[in-house]
Amino acid sequence: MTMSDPLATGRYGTATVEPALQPIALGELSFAWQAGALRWLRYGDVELVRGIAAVLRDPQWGTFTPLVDDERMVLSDNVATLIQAFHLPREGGGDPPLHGRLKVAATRRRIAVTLALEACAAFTTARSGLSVLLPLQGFAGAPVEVTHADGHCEAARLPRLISPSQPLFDIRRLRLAPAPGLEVQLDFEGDVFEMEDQRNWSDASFKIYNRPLAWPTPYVLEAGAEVTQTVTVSLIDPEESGHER
Amino acid sequence: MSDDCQTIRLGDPLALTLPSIGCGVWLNRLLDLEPDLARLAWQLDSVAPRHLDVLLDLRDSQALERLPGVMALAAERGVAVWLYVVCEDRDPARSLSSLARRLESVPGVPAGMLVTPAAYLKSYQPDGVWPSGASPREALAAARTLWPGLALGGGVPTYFTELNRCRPDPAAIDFITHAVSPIVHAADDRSVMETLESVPDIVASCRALAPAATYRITTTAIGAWTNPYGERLTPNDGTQRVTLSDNDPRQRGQFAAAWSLGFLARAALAGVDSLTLSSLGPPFDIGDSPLHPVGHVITGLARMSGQTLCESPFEIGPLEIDPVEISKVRKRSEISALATLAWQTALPAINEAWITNLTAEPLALGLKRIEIVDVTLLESERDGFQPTPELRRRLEEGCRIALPPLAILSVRWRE
Repeated sequence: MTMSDPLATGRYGTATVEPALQPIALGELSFAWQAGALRWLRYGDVELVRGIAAVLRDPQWGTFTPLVDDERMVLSDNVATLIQAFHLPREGGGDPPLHGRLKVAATRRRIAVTLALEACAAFTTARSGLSVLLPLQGFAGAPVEVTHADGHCEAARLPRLISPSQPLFDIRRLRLAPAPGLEVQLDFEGDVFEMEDQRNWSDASFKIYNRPLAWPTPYVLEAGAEVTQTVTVSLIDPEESGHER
Repeated sequence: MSDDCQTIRLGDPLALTLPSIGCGVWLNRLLDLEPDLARLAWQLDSVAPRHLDVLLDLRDSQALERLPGVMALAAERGVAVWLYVVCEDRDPARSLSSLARRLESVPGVPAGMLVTPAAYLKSYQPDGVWPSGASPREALAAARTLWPGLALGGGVPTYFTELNRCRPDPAAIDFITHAVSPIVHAADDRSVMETLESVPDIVASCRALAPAATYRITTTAIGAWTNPYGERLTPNDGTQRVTLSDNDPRQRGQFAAAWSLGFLARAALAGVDSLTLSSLGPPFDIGDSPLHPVGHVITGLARMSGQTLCESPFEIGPLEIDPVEISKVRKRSEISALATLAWQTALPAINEAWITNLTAEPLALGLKRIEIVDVTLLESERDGFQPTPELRRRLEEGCRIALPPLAILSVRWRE
């Protein structure tokens, strides 16, 4: 949407316009793609995931704004592939300290998001990696099955009242049912993931993020360091789910 | 077709009242506004907030010098002053004694006070290393000795996170309080509007910490006045949507008006007692001649503080003509596309309702059968709520209207 500057400024206090939002649908599965982030993953009317994004934090927990080098999108009725290559500009010019690539591979019942980062110089960050947001509706107070890195599986519940500390640690896989008859599985690879109750900060989400908060911050990705993380969201076949119970 | 309509019902006559609506004042940042307090006085006269939440950092001696002037302006206008005091970590009693001496000679008496040791402006993990100086409980005890008759609070001048991780003794406090910033983690328009979904959970969670205490949400705006999670705020030239900034452009735009109404609507229906929106002067100024749109929202709502809430007469639903529009409207309604609040005015049998479109697209809107008294609209193109004869005519004819993005429609009707 184009807006005249006075109208944009009147509404938003700035003529700066937000990045375009592209809706994508694969049968019942739908999501939006905006500025290298996946938003509002839904199956029919049910929201499964509020968002998945690569989040690069500066040492003060501010958020870096990467510059996009290239964006590619291949869409069909059954498959969507989206790739964004980006880098962080160096303050004052010079070679970028960090290059990255985010890839989304979606089918009608499964969506995988992979982030690859390469530090070209020592890069100091409070946290850099994939961030997954779960919405509140259908999730707050709901049962969740958690699989940890060692394969141990436990039944838990997402908090109803806002939890001051992380509700879940050491997450390898989550299984939840945000609506009757609809079960979803999230798999996390490439780092240690844990969950924060973001309602503390008035966000409408539970956030699953890489690198435990208990580890030292900020930390340094040394020159040459590579990071690869993948989050996969799958709809569970009702028959498979039935067998397990 | 009627199946496609969604009716907003706030329920039968509500046992709820509109919270006290006030504004923040940062004494140390008023220094930027020399030469005098005339601008603050103008804002107080124009907006008539019911209270001021005054942030007073005792580590800044000039801030204390500013206190008598602000207290005098408030006292002359019958505006309640709640002091949000930041004290020294080592010896809160000494730091507070200087305030006590000063308060003896200022006009008026504070309505209440929160005392926060400076180190507690930062955030700590629940199992992390906490400050070695005085705790908020010790500072509260020191304040209780100095002001035995004053309402003293528990909580923080920062965000619910910090309160949730450092919970007050509910038996020791008269009120519980925290601020809200919707741009700590994400700053795009949709994420900021989505923060409104979390308000009922925040209110329920905070209430559970101190069920008997008055619940005051202190200064809440599109911005962050301090960064508890790092050393500084994010620099912003006032044109960028960035996290943890105290200079967000949307605070000056219609966006803040819509968001603030959305916040108030959800907070009021969840039962908050008091809400402080934006500030007079930096960091979340409401403007002057003309006011920013959010200033008009505060002006309109502050005068209604204490009025009984009632059912809203608004309905959203499809425009009759465009089937494509129908699906879009339904989709948006699912993601909280609007906020509405209605109350009984001080005039006999006259009710008033406000509704805002929280999205960037027009929203189809209708009214139940009511006897309209007047219809006004706050939108970015015009200064303040203005009569809209065209919208009124269409609503009176039972037609749906398209509410512009972020606009606020006000309807008064006769019971």
